[in-house]
Amino acid sequence: MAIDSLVLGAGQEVGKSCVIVTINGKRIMFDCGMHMGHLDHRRYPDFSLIGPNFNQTLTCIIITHFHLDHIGALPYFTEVCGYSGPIYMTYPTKALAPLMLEDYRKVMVERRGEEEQFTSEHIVECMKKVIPVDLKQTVQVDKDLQIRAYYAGHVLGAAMFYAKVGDAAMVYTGDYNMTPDRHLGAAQIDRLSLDLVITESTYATTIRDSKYAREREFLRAVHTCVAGGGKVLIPSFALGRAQELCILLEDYWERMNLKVPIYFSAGLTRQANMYYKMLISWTSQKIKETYSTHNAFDFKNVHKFERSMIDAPGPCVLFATPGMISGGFSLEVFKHWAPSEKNLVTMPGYCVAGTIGHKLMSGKPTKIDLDKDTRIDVRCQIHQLTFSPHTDAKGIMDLVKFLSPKHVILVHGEKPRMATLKGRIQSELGIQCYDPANNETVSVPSTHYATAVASDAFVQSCSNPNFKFSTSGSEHEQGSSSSNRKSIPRLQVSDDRVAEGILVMEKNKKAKVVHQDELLVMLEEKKHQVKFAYCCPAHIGNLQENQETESTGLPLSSTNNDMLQLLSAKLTNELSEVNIQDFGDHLQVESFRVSICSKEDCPYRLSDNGGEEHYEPMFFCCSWAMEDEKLAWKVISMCQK
Amino acid sequence: MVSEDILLQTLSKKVLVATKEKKSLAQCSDEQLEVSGSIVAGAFMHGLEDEFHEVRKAACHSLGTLTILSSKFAGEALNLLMDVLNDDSMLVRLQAFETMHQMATFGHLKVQEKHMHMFLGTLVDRNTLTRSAARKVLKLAKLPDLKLFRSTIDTLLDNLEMCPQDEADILNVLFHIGRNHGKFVVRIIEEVSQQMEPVSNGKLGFDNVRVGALLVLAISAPLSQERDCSIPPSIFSYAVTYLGRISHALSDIIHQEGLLNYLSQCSRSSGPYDMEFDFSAKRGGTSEILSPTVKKPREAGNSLVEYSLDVQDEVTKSMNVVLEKVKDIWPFVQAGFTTEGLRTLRSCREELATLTSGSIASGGSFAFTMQYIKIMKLLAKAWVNFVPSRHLPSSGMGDLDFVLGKLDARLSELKSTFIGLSKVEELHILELVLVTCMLKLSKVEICCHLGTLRKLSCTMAHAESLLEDGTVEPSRFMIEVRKLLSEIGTSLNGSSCNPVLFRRVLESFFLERLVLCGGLKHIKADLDIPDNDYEHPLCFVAGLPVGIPCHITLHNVSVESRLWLKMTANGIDDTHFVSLDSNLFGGCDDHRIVVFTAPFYKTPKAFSFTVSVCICMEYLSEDEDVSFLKRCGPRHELASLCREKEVFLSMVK
Ligand SMILES: [Zn+2]
Ligand SMILES: [Zn+2]
Repeated sequence: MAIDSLVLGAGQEVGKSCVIVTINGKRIMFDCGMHMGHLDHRRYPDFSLIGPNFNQTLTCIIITHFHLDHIGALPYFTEVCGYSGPIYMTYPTKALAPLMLEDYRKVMVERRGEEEQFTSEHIVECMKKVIPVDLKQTVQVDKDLQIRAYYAGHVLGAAMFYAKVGDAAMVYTGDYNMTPDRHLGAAQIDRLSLDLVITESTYATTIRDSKYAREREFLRAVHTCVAGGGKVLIPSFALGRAQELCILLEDYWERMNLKVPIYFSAGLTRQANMYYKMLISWTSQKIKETYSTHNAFDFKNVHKFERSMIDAPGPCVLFATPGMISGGFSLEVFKHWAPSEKNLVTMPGYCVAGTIGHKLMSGKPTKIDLDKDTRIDVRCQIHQLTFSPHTDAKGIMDLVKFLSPKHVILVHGEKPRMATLKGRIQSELGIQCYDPANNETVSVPSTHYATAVASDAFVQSCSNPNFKFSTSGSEHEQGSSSSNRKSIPRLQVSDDRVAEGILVMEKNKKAKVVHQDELLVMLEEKKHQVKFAYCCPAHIGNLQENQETESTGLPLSSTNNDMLQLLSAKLTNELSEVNIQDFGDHLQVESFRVSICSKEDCPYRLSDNGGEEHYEPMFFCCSWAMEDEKLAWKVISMCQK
Repeated sequence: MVSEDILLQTLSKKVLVATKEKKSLAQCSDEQLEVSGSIVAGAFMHGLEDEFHEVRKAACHSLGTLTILSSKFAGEALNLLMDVLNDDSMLVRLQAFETMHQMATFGHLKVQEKHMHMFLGTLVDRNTLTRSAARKVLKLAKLPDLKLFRSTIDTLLDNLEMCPQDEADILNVLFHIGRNHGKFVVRIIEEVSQQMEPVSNGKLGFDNVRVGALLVLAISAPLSQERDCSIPPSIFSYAVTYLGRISHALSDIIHQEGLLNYLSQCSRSSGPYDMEFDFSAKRGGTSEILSPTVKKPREAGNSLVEYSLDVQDEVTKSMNVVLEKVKDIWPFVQAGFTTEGLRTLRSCREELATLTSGSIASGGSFAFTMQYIKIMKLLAKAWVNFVPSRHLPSSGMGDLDFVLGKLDARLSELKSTFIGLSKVEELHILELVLVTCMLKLSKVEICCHLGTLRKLSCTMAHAESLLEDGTVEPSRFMIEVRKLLSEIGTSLNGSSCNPVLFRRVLESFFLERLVLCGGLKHIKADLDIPDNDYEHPLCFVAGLPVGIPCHITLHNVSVESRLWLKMTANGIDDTHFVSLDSNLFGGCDDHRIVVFTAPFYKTPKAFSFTVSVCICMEYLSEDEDVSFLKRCGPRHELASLCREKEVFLSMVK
């Protein structure tokens, strides 16, 4: 059986995350995002590839978090395309997603004057279909499909999802962060037995610096600016980064006893902050620990900004939307503040081409032409934020190593970097890895557990105790313990049970595990035993030293017996612990058997043993079974002497 | 041991070339452990970035141990540690300082320019603990160039302006830093010496505090190991005018006469100096030369402590070890880390609990320490309400009124139920009583200001009588209280007192280490009511008195003491007292026994009830509460000598 993953989006790119996974007959859509970089049909995943009647074939949709590249196409898919099945997401995502979607719809329709893809009503209707889930709660989607959400860091409410159908299981990570930040914890997941992990790979090759360094640079830039009487503009999205930076600034302000005001523009609604305050259980350890005495999102130093304050004198810090200075209030403030070299503008790590943010980041422009009538002189300082809520290459490797799935699929990254990471996962972790492009399907085999019957003899052998005795540490203790205390040697008993059996699978019969003794009977075969043989030359002189002269004339047979007697005596002498049986014509020690060889051309004799021999050598013909090999060579070496 | 490469690898997430292929063997006592670069990569970075502050703190701590091994590792580790100073947990930040201090002690602290913004920021942090931890590191730090030295001195001066209460410590740091960087000091003094000249009227101009600080910096130069650190001789003469302040700040290094000696010698020389700093000890007149690298812990300079350190009995010695730990909670309590402080106290209590066997537990020192810890717990809980921080709940540590009342009672008990308190011990307790009074007075909501004020002045009077002969010096707090009392003394109606005044005085309180001298005797009693429990009650007839047979053993109670049996019928809240004539008791002073039948008069109309019985002792307190006087019964405050005992009674059927 196989797990098929059809990548509809975020294949070798970032944007419109969407993967359809077919697993033991169930079809799950993971994420339903939109691409911010396209305005044509490429903005949405190609839903036609799912097939005509997706309401029958899709079991459910799972959304990992509220970012538009993971949820942006959802209202379109449900309200315009008509999907009516269940949709799962976490509680915070359900709460915050409508804010994001509505915000985007407004920008799209009202500012850019585009054709409306979905309406406010669509968003409301769509959210009605959502079933919220909690972390680590196992949800039975139907009788075969189980899903479970794990904390992913990244943004408030972000989750990785585990899905299991029968014996096949997989994890879809969505976006995640392995290091905690000021307001969110690190991703957490159980060690699961998985066939497949689909992971994001935004930073497929980057290894990031300590988060402290990022914070230090940011604080230093802001502090230096306000200390010099400048104004700081922090363009930001309403949710996520603004809250994190604000917590950071609040804490610093408090410690340094700074009085410079911090403002939130109206776009950063109290509604968002209110949600953050309510969703404390989804934040970091520190915030959870302290919230009973002080809610970290109750910003003490933060005030509401009025438009009239733009040109007010004195230093200040302002958080304003939208994040990439693509218009709106942050652009308005930028126009006023950019011309002064005392001021500072911070930029997020990523800006869409065409925005002011993008222009500021590419090179150091001194002038920006807004439109043909407006030109902005840019003399202010620009600080590029290096904060990012995505895990780095080491984090991805650590997670994959921790989960150790049988297969990995990389999505949500840049093509060449993904290829590098794919190589590392395969070579360093030995896990099969894929980086499919959009609209490609990857098929991996899935686990299927077969039941096997165990025979009675096998079960019995398993339950036999396997005691081992050892007196450990007694000598050591005697040495170290004080002289007046008697130390008792400790007897250690270990019972490591070993189950040894043979799995037999016959056509049209149930698999069966049997004990090794049963196998021959079952297969109606005879037992084969491997035996070793060696015809070993011996120097009579060595054995006969004292009797040399008398024995020369003796008949061969009596010499033979004498030789065996001699050997037996010698063996008894040197191998006191074994039992030597004398059968007249041969000696037997365990499975080792030795007799005098009278054949001229014994097949077990090695030919090259002796031009230099003084005496005619005698030969002991030896044979033994595998288990007595050591013993055999001991005896043989004695014979040779 | 692992190789240096492996150590360095733990600080970087990128797998370094040096460790890429190489496998290194680490020997752990008996088993060998194979360590490869990729396994340990960034281990410390992950530890320092962990979500749990416990993990981050532990990571800082173990970094400290490892930096001893390699200076290269220490250098790399410092880059990370400096950033940890911006951690969101106070405890982690303090641990980072601790680790840096450790690095400095081993000469592995190499501060660089890029570290300075973060580090100097902590010198002007709002939090006292942070500032003092940062200064502690600075004392040992070696700054690479004049620019860093200059900005460090500037920030220290800012620190001084911002927090005048840090003065002594800042001056101390300046002195240390100056000794470590003689050349830089000379350069700085050259630049500012103009400003330090006295202005026309013969007084030192500029701003007093700054000049004082720069003078301390200047006079440290001759002790530098660097050669030719000449300072204008006049500077040393100016410094003499600040003698009191400077010698106070340097009290851990030199006493006042020694300093004066040193200054006058230097003022007669224009360098190079061949100066031996004469660190004569305050007592005994023995003289020792302290080389600039040898640091004496501050506490050791305190003569009181040393004096009583040679106590003979083992119990007291081990109690002093515990008390030393108790003292350490104070900075935490002051900074609002009450839970941390309480945790330490709890562990002290647990430590004591392991000593319950035999002679130790019966000793006076043990009982004293046990009670002292309880008092500290209450004090810590009360102090929360006075910590100016938004991070703390206004409630949750127990009702303040209640806590303060309890604190008061416990202190009275401590003061009156121990015989053989030394002057220092007694003053320590009195200081705590004063603190309790001040805490009450600085909260507007708590009434009885008049009574408290009276108690304050009586306690202070008592303390003054102990201080009279001058063998013990009063603490800064006591001096402040003395000042305050003389200010408001004229108008003792108390109505005009502003709580802010009291609060300000409270800021000067710092919990000193208490050292027991031994020889303490605990006044206590054992009370037993034989054959009485829930199933075997005493019989009574409602309305008629009933006799309660008490088996009493008194320990260390003098014959003159006035003892009372306090009996409270539970549920009725009716208390009455029966006097115990100590002449009835047989045996000697420290162990006396009697069987006494106590009459209980007001038997209620009930089938059964219980009476709580307790043995109390009267003692003279500083303030006599007039309302307490009754026609019969005790006249003074009472201290209970044993636990309350429940007596079960039931009506005769
Ligand atoms: Zn995202
Ligand atoms: Zn994403």
